[in-house]
Amino acid sequence: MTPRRRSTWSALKDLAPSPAELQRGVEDLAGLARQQILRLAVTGLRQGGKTVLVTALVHHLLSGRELPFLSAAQEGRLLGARLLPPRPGDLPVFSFAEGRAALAAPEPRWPEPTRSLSALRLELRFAIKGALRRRLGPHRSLILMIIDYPGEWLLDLPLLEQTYEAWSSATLGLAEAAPRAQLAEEWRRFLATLDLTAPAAPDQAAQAALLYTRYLKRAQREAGLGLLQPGRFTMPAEVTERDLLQFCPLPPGPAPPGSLRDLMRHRYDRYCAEVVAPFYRNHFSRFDRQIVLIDLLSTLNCGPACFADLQATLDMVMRSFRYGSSGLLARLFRPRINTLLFAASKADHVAHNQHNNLRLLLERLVADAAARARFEGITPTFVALAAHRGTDVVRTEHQGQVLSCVRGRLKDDERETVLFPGEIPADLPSEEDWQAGCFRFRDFAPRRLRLNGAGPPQHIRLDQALEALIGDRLQ
Amino acid sequence: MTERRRIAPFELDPSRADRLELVPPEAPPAPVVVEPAIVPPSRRPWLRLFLTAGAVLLIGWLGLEAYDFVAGLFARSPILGAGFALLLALVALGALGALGREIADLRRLERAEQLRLMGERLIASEVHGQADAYLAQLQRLYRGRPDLAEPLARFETQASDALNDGERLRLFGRTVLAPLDRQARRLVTRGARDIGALTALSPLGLLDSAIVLWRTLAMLRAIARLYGVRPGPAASIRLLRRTLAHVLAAGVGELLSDAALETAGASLLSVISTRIGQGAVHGLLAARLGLAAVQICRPLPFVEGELPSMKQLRADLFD
Repeated sequence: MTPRRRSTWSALKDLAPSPAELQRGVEDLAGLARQQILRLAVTGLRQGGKTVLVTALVHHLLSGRELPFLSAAQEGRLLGARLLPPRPGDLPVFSFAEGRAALAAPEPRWPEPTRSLSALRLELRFAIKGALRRRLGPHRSLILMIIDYPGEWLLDLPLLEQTYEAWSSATLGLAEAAPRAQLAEEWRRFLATLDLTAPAAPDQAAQAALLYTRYLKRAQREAGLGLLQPGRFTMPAEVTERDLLQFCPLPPGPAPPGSLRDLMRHRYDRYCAEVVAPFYRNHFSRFDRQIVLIDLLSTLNCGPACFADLQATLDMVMRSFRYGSSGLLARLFRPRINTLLFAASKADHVAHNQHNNLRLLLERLVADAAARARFEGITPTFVALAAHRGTDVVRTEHQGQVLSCVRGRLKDDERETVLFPGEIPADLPSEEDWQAGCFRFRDFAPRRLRLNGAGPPQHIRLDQALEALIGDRLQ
Repeated sequence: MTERRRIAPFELDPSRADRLELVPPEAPPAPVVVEPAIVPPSRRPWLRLFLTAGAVLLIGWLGLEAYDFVAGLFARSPILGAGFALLLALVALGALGALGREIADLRRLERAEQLRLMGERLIASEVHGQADAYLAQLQRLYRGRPDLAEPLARFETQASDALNDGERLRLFGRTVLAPLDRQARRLVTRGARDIGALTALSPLGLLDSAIVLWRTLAMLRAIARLYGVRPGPAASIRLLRRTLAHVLAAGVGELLSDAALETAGASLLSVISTRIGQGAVHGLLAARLGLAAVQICRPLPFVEGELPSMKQLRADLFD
């Protein structure tokens, strides 16, 4: 044995833990095992208000108040929460402080919407329920990771299951129907001038993609439509290579090598493999809980076409959660979302007596897709919520009837008003509902966020949503 | 779907509308009291006649005797007569007072029952404004209690106007009643443990039943007091009867499966000693009775997950 070796050996011997240290180490390990991670994904369709939701959620969890329906908080078992600093290599940090400052400002305003993937880690410390289990350790902590991503991305998962040809014919079929035909006219006219089997000129593909993107953006902005694939075309993403986004659906036909059709198909496949699949593999498949926010009110404002489109969108979205039925998806990644919550946001923009109908309408919209998801063991829950209240409800008499109205500051013209926004149907709206102009929901500005948490809750059912999403992990 | 005409959206001048002024909620229709018909109404008119007539005869006879007695005393000496007359009046007053108290207790138990029925109806409700009267009644019931002052105040601030009736009631349950539930559970565990230990120790079979009856009644009364019902002797007996009926109504199936488990555990114990085995069975039975009493006395029905199960209690008992 060389001296050098011996010194190593003695150093090791010195390093050998004493019984007390061993015990501490075991306790540390036990602590690590006790510390759990839960990934909560937040996404929204049609400006569902996910930034406000995440901001309000984190604020209330940090203060620990105003959450009467979160069992751990109500039973006094929630000891506290703190924001964890980001680690290197993490996703971009959700700008919570800015969001809260915007809501708590003397002139409160809604936080700037996030346009990309961002995340935030929160450590919740809570006492364990039950005398027997408490003997294992007085408290536990749960790392709650809140991930916020654009709802448009959810629409991309079904692309993985579709060939370029199938997707093309479905998308072209959509573009020929009523509200879209006019918006897509320019792009379709351009397609008609192309020879799809001839060798592709480089600017042809770029021009077609440009026109297609313009159509998608107009459909989103002007017609309020949501079923727009690929989702990254309307929602700029972390795609560095511009080529990846330069394709569009083409009418079916032969595709000799080197032709435009061949090129587009090639790019479509690359888009799926290099943009869509990594998101699902790296992020989506690791989510534990998912909340999808939907702004039903603006959809009702927009009219029957938007409404039908929302239904189709939701159906498409639900496919992302029905992985069991699809062999390909089940093989590619094993998503583990087991709690799915659909929330009709902005419930404060209508009177309280409409909340029930709001929830029922949402349930009705997702009913078919939800029934299929139930088969896979996922039972979605539905709730009508407002992450931060901007209004209060007043009663007034109108033509001999007592009506509940909402009072608040309008978002656009900054004045206080009292509004009877119309009634929400509990079932899918009928023809007359649309024609009578019954829906005129307006956007309100937020009320100032009270930071001290005294007084009535400043949200509607945020705590119930939270209980449904993470309550079982705080026991 | 709706017959009445939809009202088109409109906007108002803010100065014209007043702050939320709730129209006084119409009183909810009086719930029909469904008395569990375990003891059939008396179908023995002769016995009834005998008892009533006997009671009247006894009271009349006693009154007459007392009158004669006092009159005789007055004849002997007015002072003696006056003193005894006063004593007699006090006795009569006491008897009347006790009777009145007992009747009031019975009515309070009845009212608790009605509250519970109304709570059962309202807890799943998704409308607004119907539960206010009911909640006011509950708040009045618990207002004077120092231990509930803080939860009640918390409930007041947390009950936002956006919550519907069912949510409000559930919030009341989890805010104000939850601490009571925890205490009730302790009461049940302690009572059951007492009964189990005492019967295991008692040397006589006859003594067992006396102990069981005494401790069970004490436990039931403590539970009732906790939830705001203060039963006197008669009301306690009625409570016991109702509790027994409740346990019977719980279903033979559940009872059987539980009994199998419980007696299996108990028979293990009885290998050690018959008396201990008997004590365990008594304890478990008492726990079951206590649980039923909690369900009867609690003004709101338990929602999912709140009701302590026999399994938990069993674990508590033999812990």
